[in-house]
Amino acid sequence: MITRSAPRVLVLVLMFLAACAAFLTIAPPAAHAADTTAITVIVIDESSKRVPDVAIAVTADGFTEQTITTDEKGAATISLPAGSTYTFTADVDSLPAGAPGFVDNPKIVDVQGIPTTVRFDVGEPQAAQASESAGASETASEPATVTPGDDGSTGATDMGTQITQKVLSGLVFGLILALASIGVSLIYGTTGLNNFAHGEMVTFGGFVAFTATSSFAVGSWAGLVIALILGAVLGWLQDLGIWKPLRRKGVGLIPIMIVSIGLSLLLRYVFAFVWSPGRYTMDQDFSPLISIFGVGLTYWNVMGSVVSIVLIVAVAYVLNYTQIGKATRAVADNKPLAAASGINVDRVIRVVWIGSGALAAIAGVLIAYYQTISFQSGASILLLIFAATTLGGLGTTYGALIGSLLLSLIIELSTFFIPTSLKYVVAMLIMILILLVRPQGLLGKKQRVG
Amino acid sequence: MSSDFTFIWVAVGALFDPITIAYALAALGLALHFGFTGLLNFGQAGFMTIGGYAFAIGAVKLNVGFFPSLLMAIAGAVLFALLLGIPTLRLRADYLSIVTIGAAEIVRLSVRTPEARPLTGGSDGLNGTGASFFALNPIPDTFSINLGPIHYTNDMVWVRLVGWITVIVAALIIWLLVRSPWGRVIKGIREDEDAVRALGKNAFSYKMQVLIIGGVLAGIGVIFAIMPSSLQPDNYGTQTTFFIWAIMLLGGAATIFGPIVGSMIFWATIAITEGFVSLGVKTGVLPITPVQSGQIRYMLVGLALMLLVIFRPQGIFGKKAEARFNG
Amino acid sequence: MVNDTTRPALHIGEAVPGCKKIDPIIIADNVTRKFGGMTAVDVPHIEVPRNAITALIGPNGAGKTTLFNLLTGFDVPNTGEWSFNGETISGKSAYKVAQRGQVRTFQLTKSLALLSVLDNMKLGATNQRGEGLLHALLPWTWKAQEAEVEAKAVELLARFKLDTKKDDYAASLSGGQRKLLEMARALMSDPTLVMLDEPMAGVNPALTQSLLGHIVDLKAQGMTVLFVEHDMHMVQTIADWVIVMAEGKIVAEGEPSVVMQDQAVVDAYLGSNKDRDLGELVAEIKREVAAGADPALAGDDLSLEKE
Ligand SMILES: Nc1ncnc2c1ncn2[C@@H]1O[C@H](COP(=O)(O)OP(=O)(O)OP(=O)(O)O)[C@@H](O)[C@H]1O
Ligand SMILES: [Mg+2]
Repeated sequence: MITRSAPRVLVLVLMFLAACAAFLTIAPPAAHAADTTAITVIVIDESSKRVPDVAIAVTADGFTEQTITTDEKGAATISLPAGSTYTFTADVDSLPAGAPGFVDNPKIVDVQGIPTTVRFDVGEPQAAQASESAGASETASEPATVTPGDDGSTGATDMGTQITQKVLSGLVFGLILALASIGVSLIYGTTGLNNFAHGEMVTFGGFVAFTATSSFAVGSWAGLVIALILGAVLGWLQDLGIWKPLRRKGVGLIPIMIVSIGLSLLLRYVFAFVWSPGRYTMDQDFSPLISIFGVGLTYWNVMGSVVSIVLIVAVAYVLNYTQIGKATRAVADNKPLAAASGINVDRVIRVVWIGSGALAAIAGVLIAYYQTISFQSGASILLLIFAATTLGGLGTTYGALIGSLLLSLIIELSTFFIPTSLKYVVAMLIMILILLVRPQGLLGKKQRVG
Repeated sequence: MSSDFTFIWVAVGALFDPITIAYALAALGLALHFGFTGLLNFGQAGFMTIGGYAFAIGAVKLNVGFFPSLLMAIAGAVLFALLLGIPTLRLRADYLSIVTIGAAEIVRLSVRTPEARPLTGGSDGLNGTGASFFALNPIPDTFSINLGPIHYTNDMVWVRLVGWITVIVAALIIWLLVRSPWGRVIKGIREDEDAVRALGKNAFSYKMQVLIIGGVLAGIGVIFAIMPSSLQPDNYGTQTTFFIWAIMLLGGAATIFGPIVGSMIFWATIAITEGFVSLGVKTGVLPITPVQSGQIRYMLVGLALMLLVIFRPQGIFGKKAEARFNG
Repeated sequence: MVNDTTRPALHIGEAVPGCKKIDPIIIADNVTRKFGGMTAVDVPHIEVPRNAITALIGPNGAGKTTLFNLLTGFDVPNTGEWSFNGETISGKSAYKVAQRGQVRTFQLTKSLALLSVLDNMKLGATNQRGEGLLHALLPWTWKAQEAEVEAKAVELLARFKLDTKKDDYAASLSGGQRKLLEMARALMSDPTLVMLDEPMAGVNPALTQSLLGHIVDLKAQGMTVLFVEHDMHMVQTIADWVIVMAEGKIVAEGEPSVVMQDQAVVDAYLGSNKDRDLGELVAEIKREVAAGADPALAGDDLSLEKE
C-alpha cells in the first residue's frame, strides 16, 4: 500500500531537491573557492560589548607572523592559508585600562577552509585549555548584541541593568522564536506532524539573507523580503513534493515524522555543503539605536522585534478575520468535520506550509542578525521551538507566542543562577515538566483520550 | 594507484569496527523499543552518553577496573531509563519522543559544560578509558592480523572479539524474549496498549522493562566505541540518535538481525561512499572541496531515512506484511 | 430460557433508577465525570445484578462508554466509588480491574492487528509464567503452560468459528470477525463479569445470531454480562435487565419488556435525538413489544445455545 504511488513521490522529492540545489548553487558565498580562509576575530567584553583596537598576533609554523587590530565593531578579519593550525594571541596591553585580561588566550585554531569566527572574551584569565576548533560546535553562539549603553565601564554592571538586559534579550529572542514556533504549531494543528525539519526552514532564511546581502550586495531589508519569499516557496515545495503525497497515501504520522527527521538531516548538510560549516556574521551596525533603562538595543534588535510583532499581528489577523484563517482554525479543530463542511483541507494545509515557511525564514534572518548564521542555527533552536510550543500548548497559535516569550525569558533569567552553558538544559527541563503536569500546555485544551 | 582504493579495505574493516558494534547494540535496543513495543524513543544517544560517561568515569576517574565500570554503565542506563520512564511512559506516544530527545540533550549539555570538566572533561571528553579492558587481553602482543593494508594489533582484535560476542549474546537474549509470552505482551502493547491493559497486563511495567533493556544495550554498546578511542560528548547529539534510527529502519525495525546487519551495512556504505568521494575529489572528477565531501555522509543518511520510510518501511529483513508503522 | 417470563426477580423493591439488586456484582455510588463544563456521567447509585445479562442502553452521547471506561479503570471520575464482587476497585488501574475478573471489550474494536489471531487469543490468558521477564528467557519453564493456553485458545476460536483463521494476522479479519475475536479473547481469562461495548455494531445479521448465542451461553456458564447496545431487538431478546441512560443519568431500569414501554425511555431517545431513524426505531420497538417476543428468534437462540 505504501509503495503504490511511490515513484511519483520519489520524482517529486528529487525535483524538490534539485530545485533547492539549483537555487543554492547560483548563490555561492564569496569565501568559498579560495585556498585561503577568512577568519574573523571578535573581541567581546564582560558586558557583551565589542572591543575595538585590540591587537591580535597570528602565528603558525612556516607562516610569517601577522598582527591584526579590531575595528570599531570589535572585529578583525584575516585570510589564512588553510590546512594549518594557527595561534591567535591577543595583546592584553591593547585593552582599555582596567580590563582584567582575556578569559582564554591564546587561542589555537585549526583552519580547514571553513570561514570561522574566533572569539576573545574579556575577563579573568582561565587556565588555558579550551581550543576552538574550526569544526562546527553545535551550541549556538551567544548573542552579543544587546549591550549596556553606558560606555566605558567594563566592570560589573549593576543588578538592575543586568536584569533589564536579560529581560530585553529574552523578549527580542522570544519574538524571533515565536515566528518559528507559530509555524510548528500551525503545522501540528492542521496535520498532526511534529515537523523536525522546521529548523532547516529557519536556517534557510538566514542563509538566503546572508547570501543576498553579502554576495549580491542587496540591502538588508530587501534581503529580508527575499528570504520571506523564498521561505514561502520552500514551504510550498515541501508540501507539494513530500507531505501532500505522503498524506495522500495515508502514511501514518510517525513515519511522516521520521521522514521529516530525514529531511532535516538532508537539508542541514546540503546547507553545510553549499555554505561550508562556518559561522557567518551579518553586516550590521552594532551601535545602540535606542536605550531602555540604560541598556542599548542595536538597530536589528529593534527592527527584529518590530518585524516579529508585525508578522505575529498579521498572523492573528489572518486567523481571525479572513476566510482562509477561519478555515485553518476549523481544520485544526476537527479535520473530518471541516472537510465535510466543504473546506478544502489540502488547500488550507498548503497555505499553512507556505506561511510557516515564510515565518521560519524571517526567524532565520533575524537570528542571523541576532547571533550568527551557520548550517546548525535552525537545528540548534529546534528543541527550543518544541519546548516553546509544548509550553504554550501544541497546536495553539497564541500558545506558541506566549510559550516562546516565556521560555526565552526564563532561559535568559536562569543564567543568574546557573552557568550559561546550561541554559538550554533549563528549556528542556521546562518542556519535560510541562508534558508531565500539563501536557496540553498553558493554553491548550485537554485532548480527548482513548 | 592501488593505494587509492585502500578505502575498500577500510569498508571491509568497518563491517566489524567497534563503532559498528556500538551502533548495532544501540539499534538492537531501539528495535526492542520501537519495532517490538512501539516506544518512540528519540533519546538513544542519551543512553549512550550516560553509559559511556558512567563507564569512563569509573575507568579513568575512579579507577575501579573494567567490570565495576561496566556495572556503572549498566546502572547508569537503568537509572536513566527509570528517570525517563516513570513519568513519561503513561503519556501519549508522541510525548515520549519529545521528552526523550530533550532528556538526551540535557545529558549531553550537562556533561560537556565547563563546570563539569573535572569529572567529565567538559567538551573535550575523556580519554584512555580502555586501559583496564586491554589489560585483560589474553591475546599476546606478538599476535596481529593484516586486512589488506590495515594492521590489527592484539588489542584491536580483542575489542572486536569481545564486542561481537556481546552483540551475539544480546541478540540471543532479545530473540528469546520476543518469542516468549513476554514478547507477545510487548507486541500487543505496540498494536494497542489499551487492549492489552484490558486483558490484565500491566502495560506500564512492560514498557519500563523494555526501556531499560534497550537502554542498557545502548549503554553497553558505546563502551566498545570509546575504549579504543575516546569519549566525546558531541558524538552523542541528536543526530547520533537519528543514525541509530536509520540503521534500525534499514535492517528492519521488528527484527533482530536487521539492526545488527543494518549497522554493518551502514558503516561500510559510509566508508565506501566517502572513499569514492575523496577519490573523486583527489582526482578532480568531483568538483567539490574536501570539506564538502565530509557533508555527504549526512546527506545520504537523511535521504536514506526518508526513502526507507517511504519505500521500504519493513527494512531489508522485515516481513512485508509487518511493514505497517503503528501511528 | 431467553425471555423467560418465569425468571427469578433480580431487584429489591420497585424497579426505579438505581434500585437495589438481590445479588449485585457491581455497586457504584455517586459517580460523576465531567468534560469541561459538560457532565458526561452523573450516577448517584447503580447496581448490576450477578449472573444475569444486563443491557445498558441510551441515545448516542448518553455516557454509556464513559461509564464503562470509569468502571474498568480506563478513565478517572471526578467523584465516585464502586466495588466489584464486594471489593472496592475504584481508583484501581485498568489492568488490576481486569485481573480481578472484570474484563471488557471496546466500542471501537481493538484487535491487535499485527499479531496472529492465535496470539491475540493467547494474550488473553492470565497468570502466564512466560510473561515474566526472567521466565521468558527460560523457555522450558513456560512451554507446558503455553501448550495449555494454546489448546484453550483453539477451542474458543472453534466456538467462535475463527479456528480456520488462527494463523492469520488479526488485521486480515473482517470487522465482524474482529468483534468476535475481541470477545473470544476476553473470555480467555475466564472472567466473572464481561462488559461488552456494542458487541453487535457492524456485525451482519447472520453473525448477530451466533453472537447472541454466545452471550447467552456466558450466563449459562455462570458469568455476568453487562453490555451496551443500540439494537433494541437484541436487548429485547437476551437481556434480563435493562438500564437506560440519557445525558449522563440513569433514567429508567427494569425488565426489558417493561422498560421498553416506559415513557422515560421513549423520551430519552426522542428528546435528545430527533432524527427520524431513531424515532422509527423506537416505534418499531414498541410495536414489537406489543406483539410479544418473536418465537422463531427465540427458537434460534435456543438452538445456538445448545451447541
Ligand atoms: N475524552 C472526552 N473528552 C471530552 N468529551 C468526552 C470525552 N469522552 C466522552 N465525551 C463526551 O461525553 C459524552 C458521553 O460520551 P460517551 O462516549 O460515553 O457516549 P455513549 O453513550 O457511549 O454514546 P454512543 O452510543 O454514541 O457510543 C459525549 O457527549 C461525549 O462527547
Ligand atoms: Mg459508546
